[in-house]
Amino acid sequence: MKFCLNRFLHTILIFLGICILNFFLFHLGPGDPTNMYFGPKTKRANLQNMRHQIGVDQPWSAQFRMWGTKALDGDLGTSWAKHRPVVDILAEAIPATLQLAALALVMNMILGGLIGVLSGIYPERRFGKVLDFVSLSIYSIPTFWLALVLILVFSLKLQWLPSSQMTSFLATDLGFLDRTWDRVLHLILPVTVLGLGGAAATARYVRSHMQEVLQQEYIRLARAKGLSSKRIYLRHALRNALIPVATLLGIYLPVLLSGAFIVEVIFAWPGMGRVAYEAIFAKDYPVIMAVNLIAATMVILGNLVSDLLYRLLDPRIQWT
Amino acid sequence: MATLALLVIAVVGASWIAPQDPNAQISPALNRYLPPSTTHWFGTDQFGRDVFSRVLYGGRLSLFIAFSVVCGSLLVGTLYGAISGYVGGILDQVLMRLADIFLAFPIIFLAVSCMALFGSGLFFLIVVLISTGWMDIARLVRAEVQSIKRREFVLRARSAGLTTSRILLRHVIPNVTGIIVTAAIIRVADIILLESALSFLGLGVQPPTASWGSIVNDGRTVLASAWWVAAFPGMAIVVTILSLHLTAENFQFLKKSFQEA
Repeated sequence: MKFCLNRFLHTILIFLGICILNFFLFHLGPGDPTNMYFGPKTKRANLQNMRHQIGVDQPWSAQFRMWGTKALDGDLGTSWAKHRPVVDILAEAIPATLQLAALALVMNMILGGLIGVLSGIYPERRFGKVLDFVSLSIYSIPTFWLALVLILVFSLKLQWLPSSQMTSFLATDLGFLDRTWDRVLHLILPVTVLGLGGAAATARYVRSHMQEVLQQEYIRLARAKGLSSKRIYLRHALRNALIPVATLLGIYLPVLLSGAFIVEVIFAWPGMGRVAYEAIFAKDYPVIMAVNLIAATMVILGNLVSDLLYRLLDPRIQWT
Repeated sequence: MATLALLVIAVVGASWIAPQDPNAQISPALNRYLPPSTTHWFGTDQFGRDVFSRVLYGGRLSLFIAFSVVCGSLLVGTLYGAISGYVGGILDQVLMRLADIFLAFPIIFLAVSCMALFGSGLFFLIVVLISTGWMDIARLVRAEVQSIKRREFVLRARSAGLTTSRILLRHVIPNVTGIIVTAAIIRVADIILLESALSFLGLGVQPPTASWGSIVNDGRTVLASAWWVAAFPGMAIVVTILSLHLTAENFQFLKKSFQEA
């Protein structure tokens, strides 16, 4: 009980902190959204009017208070660049990012877990070493470069897969099955880029943890008892080694958001990363604040999930 | 580790090795997008600049940025973590919550927002990258300091009446160096990745200055026809990061065998 209360307070504090930090950061920078309307014939009075309408001519604390109270009511404001309610923009973008991120996470966990476990169990054998080197190499590849290389090979040279957007140009004319297949084709490259990078990191983490677990005394006892290797690995080592993977889930939730940022920009994927990118360059405060709100929520949720899972899965950890 | 040494030498000695001035545009109309050949080992880009020279000079810039960022992060992180861990109590809680807030922020957003606001001078880039990286080191140092501060030599120093700052600077921090070296090497790799990602997005190093990320960005639009512009800097990044990680692992191994001896 005390744990829950503590965590709750902690969460609120961090949430507030992130919102304030965000707001502060954006108001520190020079310029404001009216800059894009500035031209040789623009009248100063019009710009002032615009500023007053949006509310940027008021002191920071007042602006933050206004935004905060409206946000609590569920009104995240209107985008200054696109002149649409922010909620609409987000409602369109979030499912797109979710598709990408969820699939990438699944690929990440499965592939990474598999490779990590295998290379952890057989570190002296050749294929264990090869797996380890491969995962290290993929870990060293920058996401944007991996994306470009895959686009080069699979889209441009082999012409197997499309290289951008979620759907092809005339896809709406096709039947349901064809449309779905089109979607799948478009998903393959971005998901692979996101998933591979994450899988490499997970594999390394799982490998080192697996090696730690295999040094433990209870494994030695199991061997002394005469249990077959397979039984040892499956029943005893695996379960213990995979506990931190559950906590990795918590770390990956926010990371997928920022990883998807680059991938979405390269693949012109209409998701949250793209929305954030455009908003930052247009100095579109309502959208930026809303995106950061979501990012902060993901981070906090991720932390919470990983903490909870860790305490649930490992009976040695106390609940305080 | 040998690869890393080779790389560092190649990059630092760039001004002697590089066959051409990386920013010189020698008859661009004639030399645009030449494929790799004996005169231009990595080919040329859209302005006829030799990509090999650009990669070398870009490597210099990227490594310089990475090292200065890591030095800055080490400075900030070590002091922060040491003070927080040693003093403890409310100050520790407050400092750690503050670090949590920074840590909880997705790095790319923080870096992108700062760059979009404060412009793209080299100094700002380094400051922004430092602000994304010091938290991990601070946490490591704090954990280590908390265990060190119960050790005998610290208790003796305290009973002898040394001031806290003296204890911290002369006794505690030198004992933390072992832990942070490995973290620092890995951090260099991370910063190279982050800086190249930012330059790729156009928010880091600005053209015409070469940096691995910005060269990849240059090559992005001509991927189908001139793949070499984007491919080679990327390979350079991969090799560098790989050698950094291997060095860090070797270092861990050496440290362990040292301690056991």
